[in-house]
Amino acid sequence: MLTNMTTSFIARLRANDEAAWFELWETFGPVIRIQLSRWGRGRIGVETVRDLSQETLAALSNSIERYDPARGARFSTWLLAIAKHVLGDEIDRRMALKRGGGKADAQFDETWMKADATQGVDEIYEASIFCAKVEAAIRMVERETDFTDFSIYRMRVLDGQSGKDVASAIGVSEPTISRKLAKVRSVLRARLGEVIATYSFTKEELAEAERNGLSLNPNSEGSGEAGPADKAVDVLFDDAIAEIYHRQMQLRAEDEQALLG
Amino acid sequence: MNPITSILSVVLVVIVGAIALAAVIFLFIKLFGITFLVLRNIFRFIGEEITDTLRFIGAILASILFALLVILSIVIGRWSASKHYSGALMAELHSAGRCMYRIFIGNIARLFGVSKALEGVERRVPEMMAAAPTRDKPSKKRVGTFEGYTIVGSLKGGGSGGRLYIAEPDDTKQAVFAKRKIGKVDQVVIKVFSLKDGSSLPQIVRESRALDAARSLGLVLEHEMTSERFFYVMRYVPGESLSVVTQRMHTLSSIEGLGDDHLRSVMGYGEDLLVALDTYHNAELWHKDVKPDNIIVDGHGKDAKAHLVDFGLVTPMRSAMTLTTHGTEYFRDPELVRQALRGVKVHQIDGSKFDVYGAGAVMFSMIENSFPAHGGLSQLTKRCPEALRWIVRRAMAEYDRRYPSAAAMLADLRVVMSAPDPFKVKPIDLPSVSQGDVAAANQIESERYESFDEPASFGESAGTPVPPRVGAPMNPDNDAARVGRPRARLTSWWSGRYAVSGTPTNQGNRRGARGMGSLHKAKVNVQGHAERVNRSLRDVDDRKPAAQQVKDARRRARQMRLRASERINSVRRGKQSYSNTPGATVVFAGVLGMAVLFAGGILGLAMFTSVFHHSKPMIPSTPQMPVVVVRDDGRVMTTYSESSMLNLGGLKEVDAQVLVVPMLSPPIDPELVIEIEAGLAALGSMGVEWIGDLSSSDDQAIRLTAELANTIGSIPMGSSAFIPKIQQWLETKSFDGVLVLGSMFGGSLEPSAMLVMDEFHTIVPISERAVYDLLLVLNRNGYIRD
Repeated sequence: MLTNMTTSFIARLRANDEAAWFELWETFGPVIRIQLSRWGRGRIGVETVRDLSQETLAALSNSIERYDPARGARFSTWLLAIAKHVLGDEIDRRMALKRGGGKADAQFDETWMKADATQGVDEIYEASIFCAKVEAAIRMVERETDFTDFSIYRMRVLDGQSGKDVASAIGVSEPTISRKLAKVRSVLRARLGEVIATYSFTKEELAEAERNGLSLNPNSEGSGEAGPADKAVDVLFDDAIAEIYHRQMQLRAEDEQALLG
Repeated sequence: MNPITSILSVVLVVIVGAIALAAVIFLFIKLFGITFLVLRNIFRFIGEEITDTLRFIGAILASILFALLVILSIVIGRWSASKHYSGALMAELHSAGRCMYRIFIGNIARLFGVSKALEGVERRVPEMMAAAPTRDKPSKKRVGTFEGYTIVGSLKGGGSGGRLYIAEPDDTKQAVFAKRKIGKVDQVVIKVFSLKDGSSLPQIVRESRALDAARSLGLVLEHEMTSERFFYVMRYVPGESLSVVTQRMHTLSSIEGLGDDHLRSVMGYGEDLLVALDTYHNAELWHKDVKPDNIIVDGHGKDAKAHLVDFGLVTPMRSAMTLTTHGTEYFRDPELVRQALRGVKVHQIDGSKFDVYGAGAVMFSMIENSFPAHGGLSQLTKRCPEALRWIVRRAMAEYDRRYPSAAAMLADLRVVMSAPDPFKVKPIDLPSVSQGDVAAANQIESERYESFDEPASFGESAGTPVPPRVGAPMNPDNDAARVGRPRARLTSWWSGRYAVSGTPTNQGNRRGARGMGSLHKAKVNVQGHAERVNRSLRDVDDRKPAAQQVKDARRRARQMRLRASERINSVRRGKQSYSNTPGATVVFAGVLGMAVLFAGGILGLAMFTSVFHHSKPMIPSTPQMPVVVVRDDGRVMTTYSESSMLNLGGLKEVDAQVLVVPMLSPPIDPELVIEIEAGLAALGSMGVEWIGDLSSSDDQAIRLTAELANTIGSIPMGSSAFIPKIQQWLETKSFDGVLVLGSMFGGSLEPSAMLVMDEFHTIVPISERAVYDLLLVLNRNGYIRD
């Protein structure tokens, strides 16, 4: 099941829109790098991991032409399969070079394109992919909202400061802080919905936000009637965002450590 | 027994029993876990030992094979091949050494859980070795000499590809500097790019492009560009890079973050950086590579001062060039990459904002002892005043939301610096928050004008890596712009003698005691403009007599002629006695190979036989008739039939003008150079008119190559967009094609030639057949006349 956003994004990738490729790289590059490092188990160097993660996206440009959305593969599985293919190709190449031969043409494994119940799901990887999506949404909000508004959200939710402290630091009243928070939160919900719709191929992936405590449409909950956002739902949303943000920070730190050697 | 007591006893026994059972289960799990852990470690150790042993054997076998190939290549006189095989041999020996290390030390240490103790040997030692400066004396053959300078040391080169040497100018040079009012220069840094020493033409083009900008800020003392090398001379600033200073500050601080004194230093370095950036931006220049490694800290403690160095990427903000993605990851705004990918021009964006991002990233790295891997969302976790955190975040915010200028950021930073307790400063206290960005920037502007009247000399500061403040405002209508500008005053109506007045002089050491309470005023200098005026309006008394001037001019002309003839001779010598003498590696490999040869005996003989067959040239010396296939995208591909021969005599005259763009990664195999030169000459004899050659000493070729590089931007050579981009560019040119010599087309590392013409193109490996393939494409495009 593909949404319009997914198909238009794939269309952009197919049209070789470099901005779309950069977006993909910026969002999922660290996740791919860490996954490649895990697979390599220290046998492949940092530079190679960086090259391979770039090659992963380069390989996407070939496979995207053959991608069949009807076969029901998850977006995360899609990325993972490409990364695995690239790593395997690199190992084959090394072995071939070791033997003194040339580079043999590697056959591309496309079995991942269909949903497979037997395929083991790497939970850490799946969580990382979801965190990367949330991070991308936060980044979009940062670009879109006023610097002070976003700083208030950042200080209050991501840094965990009290409303009183934030109000004192910025020089505004606490009710203003609440209003600014609500404003940024609503933008974040909208962008999160877009990001998840863009980078999801299956229904299950689309429902990931709700499963992780991120209610994207609180007004329609309960009776289904539109109304003011429930405060408890907002608090839950903010807590989940903060937790995911910090988890993503952890992942970035891991990536950074690997880069630093 | 009381029934209640007995019930309690039973409950107690049950509870105790449950606790005991839980403890036993817990212990069992723990013990089992430990046992499992130990067993896993042992099995992993055994596995790694076996793997490494097998790898070691494999590496040794491969080494033997490579050593034999080296010997064989030497015997049959293939020097380049011997060099190639000796490189492979060294790699195998290196791999064998690493296996040995792991077998006897690394794996054992890991088994006993003390691998952390080896981190120094495994990581830091190789890192330091890689970061060590290059050889102290440049090779005369590859780099040449620097007249007037004595090389005394070297520095580690950065990503630009140039080599850096520290040198001392001799008395003559000192006199020249004194004459140019540069002042005393004890030591200089010479940055040299030599085509013979591995530098490539695009590197030289990029660096020389920045030269004009750097000269306008008085950063370059001297430069020279010849057909073989390009170098420029800057004043040397002794000190350590900011990254080293940052690491030391954090080593001396607690894990929570920097102490007060160190935070003051951080803000001081930040201020220095912003003052330098403000100067660049006022001169309409964009530094483009702000990072800790490009900041040198000179002095210690309160007198320490940060200097922004390396202007290899400095770009005029009004440049019409296409934006490129050059810069350093994590200190370069991702927005820059986005804009570059969109193909925007430099003048269409505000480059100063990207420098502001870099300044924010540098401050982040100083506070966190890390780099902002998360971009603008990077979290500041270490101890830091809230207002400073705000400043860093604002600097790294989204392009439209960050500080509009370095001056606005500087105004905010100075408020935090001047506070008795920076931790009590709130974001609302910052000028940009309370008064707005414009008011904050104006504060800095007004300080600049206030201190403009103070005496300053441009002699002392000229040439320092941190450019002197350009105090003269860019707006000529502004009255303040005219204050302090040098003026010519007529002193004698009769002789026409005049004198220059109003020359600003240095206001002395701007950095006083660095403290939270001291607010450093911006140093103001009108050096750039004043120096230009001063040069042109030199007092007539300084001039030499006419006869002497003529004599000097003749002497200069004679020297130029001599230099030119030397250059020509060296090129001729290079062509006549071109040699690729085997280096120490080859000699070592040769000796090793001889030993192996004697020891190997029969095995060696067998290898020799198999290798001899392999070493036969794969390409037949006689060209064969190609079968031409033209693909949908316009690429011409050729295959060769075994039967017929291509009749060269049947070919007609070629009428095409083609630009040669050498993009081969150094080091270039000398045999390849000969092959390319021969190919170009062959095609040239048939009528192809080349613009430029392999060494690209031609000015027109350099200019066109730079223009093409700008057009292509960051598109990789293997990309499908690469060729259409060249074709699009070609439409605007009067010549007919572009021949790119590179080694990265289509993922292949084989040196290839890519000929792009208006309709058809081809990519062919550089071999004897290449000439014919290129002729076919020229024919396809209609450039061969009857």
